[in-house]
Amino acid sequence: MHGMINMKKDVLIIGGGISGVQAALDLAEKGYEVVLVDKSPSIGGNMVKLDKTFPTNDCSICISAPKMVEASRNENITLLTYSEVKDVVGGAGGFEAKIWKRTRYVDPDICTGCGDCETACPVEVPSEFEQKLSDRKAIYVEYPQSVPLTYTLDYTNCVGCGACERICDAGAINFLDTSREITVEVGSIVLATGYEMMQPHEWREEYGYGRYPNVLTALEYERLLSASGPTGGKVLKRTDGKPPASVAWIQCVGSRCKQKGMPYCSRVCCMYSTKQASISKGEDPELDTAIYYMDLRAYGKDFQQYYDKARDKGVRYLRGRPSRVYGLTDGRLAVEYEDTEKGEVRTDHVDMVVLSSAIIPSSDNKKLAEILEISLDEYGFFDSRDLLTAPLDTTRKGIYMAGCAQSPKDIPDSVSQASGAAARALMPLLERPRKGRRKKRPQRDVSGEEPRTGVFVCHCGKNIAHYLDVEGVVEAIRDVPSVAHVDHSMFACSEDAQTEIKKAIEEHGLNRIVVSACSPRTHAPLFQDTMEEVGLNRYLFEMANIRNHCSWVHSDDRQKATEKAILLTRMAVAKAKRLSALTEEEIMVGNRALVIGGGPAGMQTALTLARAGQRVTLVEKEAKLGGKLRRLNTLFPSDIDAREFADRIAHEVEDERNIRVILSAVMENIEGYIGNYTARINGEDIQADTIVLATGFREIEPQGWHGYGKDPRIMTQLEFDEALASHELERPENVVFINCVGALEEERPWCCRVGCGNSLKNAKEVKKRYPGSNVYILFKDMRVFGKGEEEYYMDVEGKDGVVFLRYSTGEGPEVTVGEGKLHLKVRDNLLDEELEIHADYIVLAMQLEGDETAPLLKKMLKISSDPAGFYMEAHAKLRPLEFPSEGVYLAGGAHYPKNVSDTLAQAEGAASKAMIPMMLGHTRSEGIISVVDSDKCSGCKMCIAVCPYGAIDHDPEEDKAVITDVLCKGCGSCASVCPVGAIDQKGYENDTIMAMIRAALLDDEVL
Amino acid sequence: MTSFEPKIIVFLCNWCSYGGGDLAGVNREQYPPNVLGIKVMCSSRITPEHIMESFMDGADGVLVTGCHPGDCHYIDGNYKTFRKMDMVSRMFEDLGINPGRLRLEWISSAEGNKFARVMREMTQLVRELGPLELKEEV
Amino acid sequence: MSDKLKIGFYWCASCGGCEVSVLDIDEMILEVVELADIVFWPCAMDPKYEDLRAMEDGSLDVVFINGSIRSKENEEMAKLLREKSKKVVAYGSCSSIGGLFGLGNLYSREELLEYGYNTPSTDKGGVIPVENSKVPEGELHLPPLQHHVRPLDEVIEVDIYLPGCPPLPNQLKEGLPLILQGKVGKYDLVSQKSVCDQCPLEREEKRIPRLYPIQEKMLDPESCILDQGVLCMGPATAGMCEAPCPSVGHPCIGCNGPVRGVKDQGARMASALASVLGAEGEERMDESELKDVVNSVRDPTGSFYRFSLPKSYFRYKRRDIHG
Repeated sequence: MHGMINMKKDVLIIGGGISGVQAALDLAEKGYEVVLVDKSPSIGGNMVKLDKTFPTNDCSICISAPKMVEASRNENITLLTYSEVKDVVGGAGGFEAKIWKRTRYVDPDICTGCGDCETACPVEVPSEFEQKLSDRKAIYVEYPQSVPLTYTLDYTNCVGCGACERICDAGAINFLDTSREITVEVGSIVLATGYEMMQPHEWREEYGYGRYPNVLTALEYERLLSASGPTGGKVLKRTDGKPPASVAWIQCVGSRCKQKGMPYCSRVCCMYSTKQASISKGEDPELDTAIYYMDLRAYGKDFQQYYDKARDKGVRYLRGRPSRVYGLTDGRLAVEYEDTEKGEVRTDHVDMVVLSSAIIPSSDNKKLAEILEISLDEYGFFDSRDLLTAPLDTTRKGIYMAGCAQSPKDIPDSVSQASGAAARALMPLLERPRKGRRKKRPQRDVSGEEPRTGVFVCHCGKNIAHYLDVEGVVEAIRDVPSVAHVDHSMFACSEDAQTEIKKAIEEHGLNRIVVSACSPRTHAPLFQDTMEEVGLNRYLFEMANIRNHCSWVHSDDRQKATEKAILLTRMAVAKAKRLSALTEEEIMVGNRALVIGGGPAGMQTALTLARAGQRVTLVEKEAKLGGKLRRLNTLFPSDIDAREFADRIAHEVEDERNIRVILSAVMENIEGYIGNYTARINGEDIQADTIVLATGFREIEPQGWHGYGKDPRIMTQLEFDEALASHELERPENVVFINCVGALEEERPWCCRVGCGNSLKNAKEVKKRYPGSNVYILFKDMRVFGKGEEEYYMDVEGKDGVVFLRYSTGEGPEVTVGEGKLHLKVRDNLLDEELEIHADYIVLAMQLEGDETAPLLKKMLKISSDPAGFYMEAHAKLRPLEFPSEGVYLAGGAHYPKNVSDTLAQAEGAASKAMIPMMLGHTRSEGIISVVDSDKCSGCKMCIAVCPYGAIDHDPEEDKAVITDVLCKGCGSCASVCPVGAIDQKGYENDTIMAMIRAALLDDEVL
Repeated sequence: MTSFEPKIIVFLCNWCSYGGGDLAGVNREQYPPNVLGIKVMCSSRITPEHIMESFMDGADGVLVTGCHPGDCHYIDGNYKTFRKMDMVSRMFEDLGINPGRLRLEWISSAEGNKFARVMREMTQLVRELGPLELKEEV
Repeated sequence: MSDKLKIGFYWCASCGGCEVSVLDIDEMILEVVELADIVFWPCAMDPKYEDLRAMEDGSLDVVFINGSIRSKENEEMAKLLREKSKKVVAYGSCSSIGGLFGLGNLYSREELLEYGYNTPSTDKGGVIPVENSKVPEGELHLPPLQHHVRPLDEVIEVDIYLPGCPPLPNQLKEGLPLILQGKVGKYDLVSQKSVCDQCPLEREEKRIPRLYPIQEKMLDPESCILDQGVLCMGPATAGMCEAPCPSVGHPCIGCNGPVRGVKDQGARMASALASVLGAEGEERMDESELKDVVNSVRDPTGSFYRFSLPKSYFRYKRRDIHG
């Protein structure tokens, strides 16, 4: 295939990591056509290399693989893997990109991913995916869950022996294939180029990386932890293959270091080290785990609790930056450091050292910046048009960015940004027609017919047929009463086999299909599409996995494997007999959104929705828009005036004709569901199709802390901001900021995320306004982690001369109120000294909690909140902006406190999420859902509490459970809870499961 | 004498443990063919009756598998599974059924090796327990 | 001979409550007598085995058998009555589902005899009765106890099930005439709805952190007992009883057995209760905390199977643990 290929699409996304995939999905689900380009053979980026993710310990590949598969199946997404962007011309609304698609020498349409070629290949090369800790072949997939699951022949290392070509039964390998150029026309571009990890030997050679085999990077350690990694999940020393007795993690290897790396904070290392240490400790409680850190930045939702748990488990945290690591004669490693809490220089001996090396920009950024004519920041991340107010816009219109392309960040912040970037990217496309969902094909009604099942058994080349008797399976099934036709083929998934299946359906009047082959997780949709082509409902299908679950795993016992394959097929046939056609119901979703909360998150959400043509009602409980911005003086870290910013954005809202603002709003009631909400506000009924919660956060009640309430000069952070803004302060000599008031303690263990930054910018302001004054910040850990924040902190400490004192929980500053100045006594745990300060003002950075409206709103909307009163998103890592039930979305401080830059990115993201059903005009229920038999339901209400989606309601008049189909996701837990058997799950009915059990163990009656 | 070959029913959740089984296959991790998998969308779909039916129909062991706590595709189904299984295990003891015949395991889709290991362990354990005799004497 | 129906009543292993319940229908007994002659009723009359054996097969129209099958005699009589009667009604929970005596199936026959005749709380040093024994008056024969309790339908075919411990007057008043007129099917008198359906108490959405023993709770008489954290079997128990127990503040103990179409009452209740208990905040619990929640249910087997163990999947205690 030579020559050029031209495609007309809507958006080009560069980078197929989690950010790129999320942005692609957000756009594709709205009907925009996306090209997703990744230079690797598979999408997935860095996230799939991780073992687990903090703070939930979710298995990383397990949660990312479904997203990747979703992206590959979405008809609006074209994946161009193993490809690179070479050139881009044009501008917003009309870019033309040239993409170089490298050949894999393997035809993706033919390759079944069986892996025979890999077995045959004699060449072993270090696996990049496994961080070169193990080898791969010259023909390979990066990892088992690769998307697409197509083998790639690595031309550089191939010796050209032809073994792979000879063994490939499918004939997928073509040595004569060539790379080609593809031209894509798009309206906007999203950059999601991710990050790389700094190689520690380049900048921090004193830690011995590359010299001592047991000094690893964190990503290498991650692969050792991974169950599918080179050691099968066991952490083993590279020197002797034995498990270590002690592991040390060194933080900030190349981060927070202007001279020998990057000045910024890499934002995720403290937490992933905590994760690695606590997982390792969990596996082996005897293992000694120590983390050497400077500030433990457990700033996000549930991070502090995760860190507390690790400490309780016995992970040791040592505050100090090691000066060097050197080898000992016994093969162990020595870590030399100053324990800053004890003020002594020490040397610890450990078996293994893990380096949290800096997150650095993708090395492609520079080239891309040139191609796209956009600018990079001083480190090589893409520059924002305005870091605070337009964090997702590059310096050129029509080009946006998400995730670590902008700066280091964790997964939820990356996917929030990805959704946000999707919302930005559709702005230049508003005039374009969007693709609706594929029309449903007409279907044959089989409800009155006797089951006539067609069974198709696959050889999968040799993958099944070599290990079990395929024809034996065919013969054993042939006489089953409900089976009308049996056949077998070399590759059931091939084009020819699909034609055969379609022919058999028509010739034999088949109304159920069973394919005995590989995994339904990868192959069911293919067969289901085939069935639909000839008018058979896609749910009249069942697969028996006689490859992954049989031939491949029982390859040494042909007879037993054959017997099991027969049983698995029988079970599938028993199930097929009971299948019925299912439909995915559609409900209309209009363009009316209700945004609750008029702070920056709510205002930005409303603006984004309105600019994309949605009609928004924005409600605010105060008499004026602006939320917390109205109480702040300036914003961290850019020092812009908060009220001016609030006015500016509020004016934009007021000028937007698609937004109706209701001020001094009292939310009396909300009922309904997606497409159909009615909210009673100030006595008026407001109709809405979707709802975005942007209710923000508040300071906890400060009564009693550090003398608050006894003297007006002791203020909370927000009160101090107000005083700064209104210039009410008297020229002070000494001002003290106390961080973490009411935080990081047993009762309220969480970190407020924004307090440190707020103290810093106010300290700077005091210094600026009152030269000569002394400013102290009393802190526990200085948690500034965002773009530009560490640099700001360094300036405040260095240039502005603010004094930083570190205090411990339980040794909080004592404040005495009397005549004259406020008297404050505190123990500095770094100098180990008691200090006394005579202060003019004491500012308390109060712990933050969810808004007071949360208890009421969560009841009305059937959602939940955490103990801090922040709403519980659908998934901590990958669905931070959504709730389990579709139709309600989340932005800003209502999710967790965050600075304005992160808030605005989230707000764009929440708007993007809400616009998926709104722009599509409908939402579709699952086919597999639960149903209530109202003749049996006795109204006991057991099921209501177990539904994670709030899909079950109680109808008080009939005293019965009612399931809202569109909210049901089909887990079936209600069917299992119903004590009278009134609820059943379509496709997984009680009788069906029982029949499968009987087919596995017993009689032929069920067949 | 041929050694006893138990029959074991394994309930697999669609999102995690079924994928773990797929991966065990991809990695060619060998385990005994005594186990027969039944896929459900979520482990929380499994009722004690499914487990009991399996035993009464001749299974010698039943394995319920799901996503690790916190990983459930349906938010919190596996917590319900955990409590249900704990309750059923307690009842099994009262009913004189060796609770070792019933096992709950969290297997993620990345844990092909764990999947194979659990299948090997379970088969061995049940093989040692011997057949579940359900013959009655009146 | 009148053309009235010929009916009989018989008790197998029974407490006698079912026999008394026949009279609970008060003056309606007259209507029954209008329709039928009671020709066999050992509790009220004094027939001999021989009298029954002498009857022609099928000469009875309907026989109501209460009590479970515990002894050889129970089994023999049930079989004999099956021959003699056109229709057999399993009357009450013992014959329908095994009943309260069914909990004896959690022990072996020998354990039960030992407990009954030779423990300090009963009769330490007492004599365990044997099948044949010589006494001064002559030789005594006792019908042997079988290994476990069985519901009636394990020994004979049952035509109609009428559970209840005992069946309540309202159920009888409605059911008896229909039975006699041949207007009910096998399971028509087993409700397909649970006790909750008729329960007057106010129910919430079952967000129950854990269970408590009833004596530890001051129950609000207006609210659902289960919602208040005290075990009530109502949700998993066949209704049509008008929820007499919860109505007066006592939890349902499950006497009617499972609803129509459900095989195992205990398994259903276990599934339902374990799913909802402690669901709030479960994501923050570790395994021991989750187990603790489950542990707050005291004696789940005894509580969930109080009446229906012999009709459940496992039916009686197996010897798998030490075997």
